[in-house]
Amino acid sequence: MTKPRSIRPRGAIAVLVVLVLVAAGCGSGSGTSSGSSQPPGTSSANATLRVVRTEGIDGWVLDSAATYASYQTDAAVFEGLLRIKPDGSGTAAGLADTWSFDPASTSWTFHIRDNAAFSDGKPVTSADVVFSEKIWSAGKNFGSSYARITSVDAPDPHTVVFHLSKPDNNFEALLSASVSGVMPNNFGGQTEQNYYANPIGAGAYKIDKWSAGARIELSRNEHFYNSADGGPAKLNIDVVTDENERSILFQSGDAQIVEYVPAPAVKLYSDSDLAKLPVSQVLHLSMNVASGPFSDTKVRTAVANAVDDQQIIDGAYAGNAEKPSGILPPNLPGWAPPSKNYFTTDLDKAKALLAASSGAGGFKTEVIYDAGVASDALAAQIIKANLAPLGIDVTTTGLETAAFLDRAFGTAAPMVLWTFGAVSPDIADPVNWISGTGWLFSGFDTAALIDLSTAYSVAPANSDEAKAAITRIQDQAITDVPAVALAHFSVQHALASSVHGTFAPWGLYYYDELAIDG
Amino acid sequence: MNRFAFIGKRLAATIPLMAGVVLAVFLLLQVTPGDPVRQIVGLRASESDLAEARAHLGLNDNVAVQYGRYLGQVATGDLGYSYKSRQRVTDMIGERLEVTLWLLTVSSIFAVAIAVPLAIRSARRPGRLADHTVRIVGTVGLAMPAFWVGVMLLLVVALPTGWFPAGGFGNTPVEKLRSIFLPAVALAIGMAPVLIRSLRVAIGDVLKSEQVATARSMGLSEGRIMRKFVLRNACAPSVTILALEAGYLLFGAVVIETTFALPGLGQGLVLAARSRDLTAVQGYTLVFAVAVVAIFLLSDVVTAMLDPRVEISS
Repeated sequence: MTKPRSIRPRGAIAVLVVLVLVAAGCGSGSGTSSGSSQPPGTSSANATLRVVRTEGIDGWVLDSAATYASYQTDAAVFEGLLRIKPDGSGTAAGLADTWSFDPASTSWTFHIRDNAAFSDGKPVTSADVVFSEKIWSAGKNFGSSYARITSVDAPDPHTVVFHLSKPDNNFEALLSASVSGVMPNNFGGQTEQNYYANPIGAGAYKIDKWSAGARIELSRNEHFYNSADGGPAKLNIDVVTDENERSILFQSGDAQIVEYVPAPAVKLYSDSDLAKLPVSQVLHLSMNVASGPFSDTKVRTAVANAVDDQQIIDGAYAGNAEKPSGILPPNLPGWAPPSKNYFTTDLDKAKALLAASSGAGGFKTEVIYDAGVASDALAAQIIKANLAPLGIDVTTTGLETAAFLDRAFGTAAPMVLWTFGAVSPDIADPVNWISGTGWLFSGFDTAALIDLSTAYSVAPANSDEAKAAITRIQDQAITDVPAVALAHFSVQHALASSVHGTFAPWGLYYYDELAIDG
Repeated sequence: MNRFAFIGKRLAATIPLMAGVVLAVFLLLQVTPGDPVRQIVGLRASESDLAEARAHLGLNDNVAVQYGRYLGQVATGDLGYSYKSRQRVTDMIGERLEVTLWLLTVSSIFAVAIAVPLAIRSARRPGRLADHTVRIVGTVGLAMPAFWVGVMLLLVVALPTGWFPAGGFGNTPVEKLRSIFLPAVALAIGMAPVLIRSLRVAIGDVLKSEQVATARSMGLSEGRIMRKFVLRNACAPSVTILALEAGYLLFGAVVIETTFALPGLGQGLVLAARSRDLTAVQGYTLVFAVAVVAIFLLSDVVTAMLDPRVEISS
């Protein structure tokens, strides 16, 4: 019997091969499925930039912004009266080209540019600012920041006057933050829901297409007041949750910017790829002063002296951090150092302090951290190891973000490990965060802190009184130790060699201020 | 039973099934620690603002009331609004659906394209080197986690060659196919082994049947025998296997979409879960449940069409 002829699966394989060749041949060689990289010689006027980041935005409601992704993207679409200077050292003109403060009436007067316009072509007027201020002040998240505004007047379409109850040297910084973006009066005639589904702003970019957690496509707002500026013509912003994938996209040229590269992922990029910024973020360990062993200041001070910040800098941040100089993030306008030296690692001193405290002999405790932050997980392990010689047995508990926030804000954990930094160019911003979180989740009384914060804000900017107030806040953190800074670390972005920009220390930058090599 | 009546009955039966799936997810989200309201309203919100938001969102209501309200909305096609972005959940799903459909369709095609020839080869040479090789390769393919295969494909194929994008989803059909190719291969490598085994057994049985022997004795070519008699009779059970693998596919889509940065339903579900966006999680889960049910229904109908001996009955 002859061997039956076998059925060779040539057909199927041939079809697959043809598919591969057709698909590979029909695309460009650099893998531009997202149309992100531009051919050489393209000027920035025609360039499309692809940005990848780890988290999506919180929608377009400015008050809901809670992530750097939101602040960053909101700033592209919504322009405020003021902008943050590219290096974060202060404020610059935005929709307003001139502004002044009248100490006698504690009022700020802004002149809106004659060519300020929304992306639909309608001019920006003082009525839009008056409306926007109502929205800002009503916000549940940032509304209290506008509490000093008693009224807003619009004497003419290009002039708006903010009347304050007290002087506030942080006011300019507040108006430069992305949460103070100007929106059309009455949402441009739309319902609030419809407006936020596809908002119109006066920023350098307008929204072409977006979806929560998916791609945001922006293109230049042709009515933007500064049409001569740089920046790409189009932006594609993608959320890529996988660290390796972000790195691969960058290496392949499919993405030109990777925003907020976490410290443990820095090794996936070469040094020349990274825009290293001055340190601006604080890793802090907060201790619950309400009850338990940490109600004793000596115990808290012992912990502050026991934790080895150099190990945290090397282990959790791969060297991309500095020893902390105080509880407040440096490199911010208005920053001042403490009048005394900050904690240094001294195990003998820590042991002596603990032996003289209510925690003598050691105790069991717990530190919670956000399990989604790799560097925090590493830092928690280092803290556990550092406190063991004192007889403090630490259980490290990594929690999913919502559960972590629940326990942290509820002051329901003995120790909380987290980070914070500024989102606007003034030290008042992180100070307000400290007080708003109950002294960084420690439950420590914030009355003195709030008084000092008020003293800072009513003093003239950069005055000795203002600096003194900040120094006293720093000193309080050393004396009472509700929380101890373990490291001051920097934010890093990865940029393609053709992209150049200046960044605020906390990472914020304006897309229209980028320069792209042609 | 008439086929249409059968389909109608099956569809009616899926309603309580999907309600049960939604209930399970609903209850899981209720017991998961952490209050989502703070992430919705903002980290700087006061306790009174949080309480007001909870009341406004109906989160203080009894769980049964919340569930009933949600079911009522779903019955009218309203999946609510995302807590986080204020987008309509149906819009969010609609924007991501195409990506996942592309991924699932192409990966199924690839899995079948891999499985059929290998199963034929293996079944025609039982106990021989080809058969053993196919088994070993299949076992290895089954053991490799999809995300690892995905990363390897990126590093070994996409990056060095530049033939395929390293992530994202294109705009034109050709770009979309290029974007989906490697992710679909990663999924198909995990799906194919199960199909191969099922097909191999079925083909082997049919090859030994009298009808094939008769066909050979009548001088029909092997190709014609394989097409007209063997494959048609052997693939019916594999259609059912393919449907069962729908669950693997959908889970795999969650993993692969994250690995390849594909903006599909799977990635959407991961992001929604991370930000505790309850309505979005419920919406995505419902879509997945509907998809699985639809696939099972389709497989029953296709099986019946392939094999008239299979009676459609209650």
